[in-house]
Amino acid sequence: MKLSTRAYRWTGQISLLLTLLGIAAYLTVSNYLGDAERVFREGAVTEVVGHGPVEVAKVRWQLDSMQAYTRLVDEDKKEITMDHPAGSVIILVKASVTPLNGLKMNDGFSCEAKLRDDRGNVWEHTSVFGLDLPTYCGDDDRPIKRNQTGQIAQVYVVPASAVPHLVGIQVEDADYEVLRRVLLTW
Amino acid sequence: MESLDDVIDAMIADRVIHRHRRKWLIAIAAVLVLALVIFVTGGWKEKKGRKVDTLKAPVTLTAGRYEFGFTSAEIIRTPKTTYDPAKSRLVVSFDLKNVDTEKHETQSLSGDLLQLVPGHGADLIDSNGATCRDQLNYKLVYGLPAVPCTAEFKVPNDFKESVVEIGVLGEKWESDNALLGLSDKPYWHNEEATAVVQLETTIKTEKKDK
Amino acid sequence: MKLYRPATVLVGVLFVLLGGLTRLVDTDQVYEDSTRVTAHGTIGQKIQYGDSAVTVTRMRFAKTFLADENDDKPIETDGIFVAVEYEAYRGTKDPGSNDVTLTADDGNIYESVAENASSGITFPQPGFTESGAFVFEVNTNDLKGLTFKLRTSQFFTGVPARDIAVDLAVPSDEVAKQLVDKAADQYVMPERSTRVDS
Repeated sequence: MKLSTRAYRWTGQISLLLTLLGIAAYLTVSNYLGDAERVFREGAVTEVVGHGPVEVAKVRWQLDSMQAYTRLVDEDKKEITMDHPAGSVIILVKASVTPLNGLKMNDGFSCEAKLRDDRGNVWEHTSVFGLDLPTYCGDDDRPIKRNQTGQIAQVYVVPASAVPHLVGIQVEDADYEVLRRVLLTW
Repeated sequence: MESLDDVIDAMIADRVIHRHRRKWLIAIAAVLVLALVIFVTGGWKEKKGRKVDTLKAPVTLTAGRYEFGFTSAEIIRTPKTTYDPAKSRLVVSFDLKNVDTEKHETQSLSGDLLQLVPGHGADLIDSNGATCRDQLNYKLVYGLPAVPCTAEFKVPNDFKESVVEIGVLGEKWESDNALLGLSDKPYWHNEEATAVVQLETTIKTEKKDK
Repeated sequence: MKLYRPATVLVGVLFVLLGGLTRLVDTDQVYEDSTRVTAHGTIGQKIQYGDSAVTVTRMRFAKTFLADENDDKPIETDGIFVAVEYEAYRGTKDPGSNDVTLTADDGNIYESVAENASSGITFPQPGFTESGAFVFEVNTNDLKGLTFKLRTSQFFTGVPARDIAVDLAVPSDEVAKQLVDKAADQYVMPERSTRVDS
């Protein structure tokens, strides 16, 4: 056998061995390595923008205002009853949303924003009835049409101690291919 | 260049193939003939009829992790009201006990473990689960005495069988196939028909709600 | 080509060894136990659960119970009801979902029986504490070593799932008997309530 043939064969065999070893090692530890999906599921923010506008999951978002209250009143100036324990504060966020082409809409669409602080705490919105703005994007009385901008209000209940830490609202696109979590800061 | 080893290998392989060729041909021919014979004679006979025992109520039997003591059955007719159409349901009464000697776990009876056999080749009807002490899907504690329960079946409005048949299924305490890479720990699943219980029915009509 | 060249055999052996080694790294129960950690505690003790925490505040025995105070018909049993009251503190990270059970030394597993009650602790929003209760229907002959267990049912791969086991202080059958004898006639499930974490 010629020296060159032998060299070729050796190279081939060694590279095959290395490839297989590599695959084996990867498969063994891949569960324990971070991947985009796990990072997303653990709540990491992938993009930070200002007030917006920003497009997330075919909805354009803009953060209009963020204000803390101790109580909320409805259109007739009557206090809205809601569950907020002593020591907590109500945060009212106003945002403009525009459903864009390609968004699945029947009887409105889902537009959910969560409140976030600089320590990574995330609060889900509380449902409230009687505000002068719609609190969800499927409100039959105040529908938001495609390619038209509507304003919505989202209400959160947070501990008073968290107020100085609040940074903005986060909006997600949890589609497996996308996995975006955008933070709109105030 | 072919080495001597390769030549010898090839020779041996050739020999082996030749030596056994006749046997292989005979084996294949035998399989073909067998298949032909089975095909011509009409195949295996499908087992007809019921493969489990048919019992008459009142009767007590154990199926999977439950012990059932069947007592009675009642067809209840609800007349038409302003808002609802007329409805009929079959209510079967039985005493139910958790006999899960494997896991000793509190559990509520899953509705598909009791099935009404309407006969005439109609589809089986699942029960809605066990209602005991006025609670649907009552959770039965292992080690406590049997509790009187009922199970409901939605039936057509013209349903008037004098004897109904209830199929009782029991889950099995077994594991998935570990060879397929699944967990080899046993758990309750793979329910299988255990018995069919016949109960005589009475018919009752509910009063009209105002 | 020769099939049994030493190098070929060596590579084969190497892969068999590799397979065996990966098998050894994981314990027998690949699906469960190598990825679970259990924190043990007692009544009154605040038990860390990630950056959240759980305290079992009280245990009560009762012959009947009401799912809420407006119910008129108490729920009865041939055994005994064991009520476990808890407080759940919520930290920053989402604690996911969980299931709770009571277990006894004899191996019995009891589930929460109250209708409409969830099968696990629901944690409040960050910075809040929620109090609530579970009611378990229990066999009076099997109370020794009663333990309240919380099992995380949803978690991320690669991160060990945290479980909690709280010893409810029933060390012997005598203690169990005393508790059963002194059981209250009725237990009223408290409403779940939320307060700001102190």
